[in-house]
Amino acid sequence: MTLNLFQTGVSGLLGYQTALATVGHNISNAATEGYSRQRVEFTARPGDFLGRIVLGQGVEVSAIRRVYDMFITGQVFRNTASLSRLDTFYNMSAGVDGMLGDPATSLSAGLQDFFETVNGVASDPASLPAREAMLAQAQAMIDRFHNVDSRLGDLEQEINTRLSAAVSEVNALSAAIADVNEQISHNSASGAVPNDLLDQRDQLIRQLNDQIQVTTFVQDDGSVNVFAGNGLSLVHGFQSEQLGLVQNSHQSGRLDIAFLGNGSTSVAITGSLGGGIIGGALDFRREVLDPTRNQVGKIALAFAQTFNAQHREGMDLLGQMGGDFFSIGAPVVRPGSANSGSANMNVQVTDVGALTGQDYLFTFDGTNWSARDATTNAAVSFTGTGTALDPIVVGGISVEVTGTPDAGDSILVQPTVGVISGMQLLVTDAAAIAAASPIRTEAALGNTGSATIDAGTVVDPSDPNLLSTVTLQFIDAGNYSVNGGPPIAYTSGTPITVNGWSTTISGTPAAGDTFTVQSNAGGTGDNSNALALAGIQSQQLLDGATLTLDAAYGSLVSQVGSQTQQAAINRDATSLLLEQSEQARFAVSGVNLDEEAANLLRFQQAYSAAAQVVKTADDVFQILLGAIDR
Amino acid sequence: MRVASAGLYRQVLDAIGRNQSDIARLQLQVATGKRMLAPSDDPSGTVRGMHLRNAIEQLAQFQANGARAAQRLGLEDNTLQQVVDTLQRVSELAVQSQNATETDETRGVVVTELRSILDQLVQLANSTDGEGEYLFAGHRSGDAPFALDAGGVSYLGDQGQRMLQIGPSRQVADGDPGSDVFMDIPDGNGTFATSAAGANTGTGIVDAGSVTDYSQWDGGSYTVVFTTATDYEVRDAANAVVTTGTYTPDSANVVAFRGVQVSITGAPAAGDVFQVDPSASRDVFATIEAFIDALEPGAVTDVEEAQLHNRLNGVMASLDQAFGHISQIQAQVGTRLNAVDDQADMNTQYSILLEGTASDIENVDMVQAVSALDLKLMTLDASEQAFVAVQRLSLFNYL
Repeated sequence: MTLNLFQTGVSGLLGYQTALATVGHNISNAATEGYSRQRVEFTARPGDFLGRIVLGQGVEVSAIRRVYDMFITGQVFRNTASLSRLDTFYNMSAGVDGMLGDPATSLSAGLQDFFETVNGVASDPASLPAREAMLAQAQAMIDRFHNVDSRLGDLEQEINTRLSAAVSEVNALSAAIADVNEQISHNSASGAVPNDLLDQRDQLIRQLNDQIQVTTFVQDDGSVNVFAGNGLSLVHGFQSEQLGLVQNSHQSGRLDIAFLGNGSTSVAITGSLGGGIIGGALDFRREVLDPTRNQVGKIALAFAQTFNAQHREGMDLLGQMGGDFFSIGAPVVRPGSANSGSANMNVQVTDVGALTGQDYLFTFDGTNWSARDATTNAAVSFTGTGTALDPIVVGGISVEVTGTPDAGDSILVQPTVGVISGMQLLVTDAAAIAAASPIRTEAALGNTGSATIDAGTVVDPSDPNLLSTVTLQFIDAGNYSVNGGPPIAYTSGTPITVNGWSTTISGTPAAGDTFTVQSNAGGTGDNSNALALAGIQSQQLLDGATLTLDAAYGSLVSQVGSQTQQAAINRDATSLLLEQSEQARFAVSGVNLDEEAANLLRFQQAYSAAAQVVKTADDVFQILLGAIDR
Repeated sequence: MRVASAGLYRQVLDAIGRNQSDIARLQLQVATGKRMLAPSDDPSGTVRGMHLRNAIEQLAQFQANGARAAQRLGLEDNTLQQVVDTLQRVSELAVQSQNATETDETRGVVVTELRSILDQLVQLANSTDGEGEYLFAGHRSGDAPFALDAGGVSYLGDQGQRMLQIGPSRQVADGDPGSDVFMDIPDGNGTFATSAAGANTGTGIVDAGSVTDYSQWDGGSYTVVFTTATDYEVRDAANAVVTTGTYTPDSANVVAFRGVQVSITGAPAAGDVFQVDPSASRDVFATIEAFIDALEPGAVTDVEEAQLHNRLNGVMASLDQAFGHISQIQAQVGTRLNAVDDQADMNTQYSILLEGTASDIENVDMVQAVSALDLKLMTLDASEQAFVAVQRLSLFNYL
């Protein structure tokens, strides 16, 4: 009986010691990230059967339980992956957004400044200072294009850096999870629940979600299997798999993520990954970076090509025909690194208005070529077969296949991505700006009829006879001859096209009236080509001749702005969701110090009481001994 | 709900963090005065603002072009006025030369003055815009367009006319080529020119004539041939007689044919011929040279006097044409100047309107931003105080 009381008291002492230790553990870990509070579960020991009664035997600690809700923790994981993705996306996108909108770097402001100086030349074509200003602004604008392009190139590098950091982080975390899995499995085998190891593993999974979104499945032995993307196994029991980085098959300088699976063959899996820093960086690359580079390239291409074409139609101060004003980079053609055939492609931009800003992935199936949008992977239809006579024509480009393809070979065509890197100012001499029309038209002063001739336009600047003097003489009011040739019927207001130029005579000519068209060398005050160059600013060049350069840039700014805005809104919302799910986790698993303080008092008092029980047992025993002693 | 101690910290810190980032943003808005700090703040607003800014800058460029056009047109107007004034003097001299009291000596003085006037006119026609560009050279504005040499004045410029963009859809010519201003002027009365044959032996004087019916005038060359001192025939270019008439010497006789009429006075001799030709183009300088040529031979006899008068009549008719022509160009210049002014007003109005819209879109509402900032600061202050107060509470303080 006394012995019983001893044992009962001691069981209480031991139980409350454990409880006090657990309270202490909770208090110590109150600030530990990912810690779940622990509770001691007491059970009454089974009693002794003493005839008709059963006497209680005290208490025992049946378990130290982790207060934990797996659904809430799952929410925290998912929200972590989402927030991390959106945060990465937003931060990178905000960089592009700010750059495109900042007046100091904006292409819109650059184009505006440049066209102002073109207008300056148009209003004062003979002025060398006005021409110098135009060249200076042309260079400044090219610098702006280069600046935008190189900052976008930097972002490509930044993505590579982020991916490689994230991949090594993922590999380290996967290995750590596999380790913890093993420890947990051993502990669980002995029947104990390793609470702190479970918390630690949750924390590792959460960190993994920061890098990439994963799903987990708990196994019977207490270990978890971790999957990323479409069922890609990162951790399987005690085993972890490695991710690696490989060069993109078509674009050097671009990294893809590969699954190294047991170190055998690597498979590029970039497209199937989502969430986390990796998902954010890949989404940004696909949704913002690539379209922005292509759009900016498209604007540069449309601008430079149109400007060049107009400039070639003019004549400079020295009486020379204008050449190209800008040089630009050619379309980029990248045969796949795994191609076995020798096929390559010759790509020309033939229609700026039809450019789409898409990249095309051409694949050969053994007989025919097919094309896909390199970003969305959607099929793209085209005309032509790819021969010189029947080139493939798609989205403003024309493609001629050279060499021999093998089935399965693929070639990536990027019409606009390389435009800016090759953009240079070709005109360096202010006098070489072709502000004038190359031809001038004149009515002979002695003409007696009322017919007038307009200033004429250039139809084909490459015509070798463009600058030859041509005399249009009227034989009578209804017929004229060109340089004394056979009579040609005259209709007032109908263009007359000779030697690559076209002019219109209208009114009633008299017999003998002559008009001449000749080289405009010396026409230093002529601004007609400069006016046409300045007019490019308001010309609708892009997207099927619906957008001016500025409007196209505006639509890019608004597109990136909207994407960034969307990312910011989603990020803020997800950040709140994460806070809420974390607060929910805190509500269940977090340590409340006041609660622990109360528990500390409670268990301390219980411990004192249990000690009193032991003392009482001793007292009882002493009384018994005393009675025997007598 | 259970509250975890670490959770409490986190919650309050999160709230304070959000408040602080709002405050930083508002502060930046107030400091810059801009509502949108990046396009993502309002993508469509940013793009509208961008387009408006460009439109405003473009208008400023049009204004500059307009100012340039106005400056050149002003110079042109000024120069043309001087030309008109000069021609006025020539006209006075022509009237004076017809005076019966004039002698060869006084005419010699007039010739000297005319030569200097010719130089002066060439100089005016070679005026520059003050920056080295010739006003009346067409597109060949780098070289002097008019050259005076033994053969007269020749035009070296071209017929180009420079257009300046002064509004979104308005261009204006900033000058006129010299060929239009000085060269291509019809002589005579603008339809036909009369002259007396140099071999005439009578004293008949023909006036510039006039058109009575344009529908009958065929633009051909005709001669009025005196078969006797009192009979004349009008013959066409093929020498066919068109009409005949009788002439009363020493009074004004009207010779009418093919919708035109000329008046002949004095006493023509038999065989005298007067020419009626369609107007040819004659430049201002040639008119003055013709004046000099008329005066230089001198006139002593009546026949010579009649020749002089006939030639002076031609000169005066051409001068009238030149006046009319140049006034017309002056009127065009005036119209263009008005157009530039009009467009400048429109551009200014439009620019003000765009500026207003742009600032509505781009600029922050200060009152709103400042009061929002105040409110946020107050909230931040309160939550910080509450945080400190709550943190002070702990059961451990009482153990």
